[in-house]
Amino acid sequence: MSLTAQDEELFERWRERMEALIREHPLQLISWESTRRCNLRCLHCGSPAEDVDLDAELTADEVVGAFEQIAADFDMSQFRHVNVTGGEPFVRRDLLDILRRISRNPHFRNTDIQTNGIILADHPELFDELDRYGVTGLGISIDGLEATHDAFRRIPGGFAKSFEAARLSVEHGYVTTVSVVAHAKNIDEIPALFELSRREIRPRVFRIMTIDPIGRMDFDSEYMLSPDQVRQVIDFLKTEYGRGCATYADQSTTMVELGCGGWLGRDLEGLVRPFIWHCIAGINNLGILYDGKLASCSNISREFIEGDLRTERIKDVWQNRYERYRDSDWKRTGPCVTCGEWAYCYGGPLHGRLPDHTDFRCLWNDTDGFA
Amino acid sequence: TSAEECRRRMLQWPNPVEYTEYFRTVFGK
Repeated sequence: MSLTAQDEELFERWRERMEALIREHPLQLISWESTRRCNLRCLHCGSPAEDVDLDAELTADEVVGAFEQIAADFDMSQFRHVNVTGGEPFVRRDLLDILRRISRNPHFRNTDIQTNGIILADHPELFDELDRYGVTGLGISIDGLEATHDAFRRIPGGFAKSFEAARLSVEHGYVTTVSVVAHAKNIDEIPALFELSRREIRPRVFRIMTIDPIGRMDFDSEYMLSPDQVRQVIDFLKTEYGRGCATYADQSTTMVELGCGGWLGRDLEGLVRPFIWHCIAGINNLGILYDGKLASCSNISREFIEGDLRTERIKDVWQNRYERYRDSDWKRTGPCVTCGEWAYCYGGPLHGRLPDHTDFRCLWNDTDGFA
Repeated sequence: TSAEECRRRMLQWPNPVEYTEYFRTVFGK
């Protein structure tokens, strides 16, 4: 498939708006890594507990103080969203208290929590409380059918609990995402998992993330996807997206999407997920890490920490640093030097950069442009 | 409302990284 002249022109205008957004870098969302602690020990975790000093975790007062400082210092006119990640957020016994306190500010009443769902399934009364404290969405991780999920996440019975948590989330009216990490041992199950989820959970989003060699997952792991397996994932998404997208205006439908694995090339962007993807780390997405360090998404290498809210004013860091996030020239090495897609992807997702700044893979390059 | 047409609407959305009004506009008839 090739783009029409109209499509090419629209991509150019989109790119100009993206460059303007990078220049302006308005604060539009906060990613708060609430903790590195977790009740599971998944094989693929991108932000594992064993790599950090768990005692350095922010206190509830420090977290609330950070949000209050942001609301006071930043232009909040475009702010829209708080993402809470981990670790497992619900292992923080003070999580609800923190959400209660920060949601006193009207800017912080559109909050999502990404969870494995175990604690929610064990304590379903939490669903009633979360709604009071500005939580609007829940993402539940389900990484295959029962045996595969339980082996990957190393918890017998985990699938049943995560599945139940997702079902209850929909039942309680939360915008619910089923998040699936696609790997070499579950990709053949993904169509069945999609049908099961759509039929019995009815989530708003069925998201697939391609597995990354970060955190506990190694390059040479038997779980890593081959280029042909990446194509298999993309083909599944393209087929389901093409079948369903005309119904996506109806909020009761289940959308499919590829997460932020990377740019797919102009031929495919916008045809496998309901948006045109671009890495927004440090552009409009401020990250507060578990220990108060300032960066962006929690799966990005801690090499890319830009500041520390315990010793610095958050807005000063946001305004005066983050050069590596906003000027991508340093990324243009190797295959990127001659790649025709560079002008649109700017080197892809920052979580795909190793601490030495080299790129570990590119979906577009590794699959020969999905040829 | 083909996927290709929905993409053209996405590409014209003011905020390039926007993603109910969006869904109505991009995916509606």
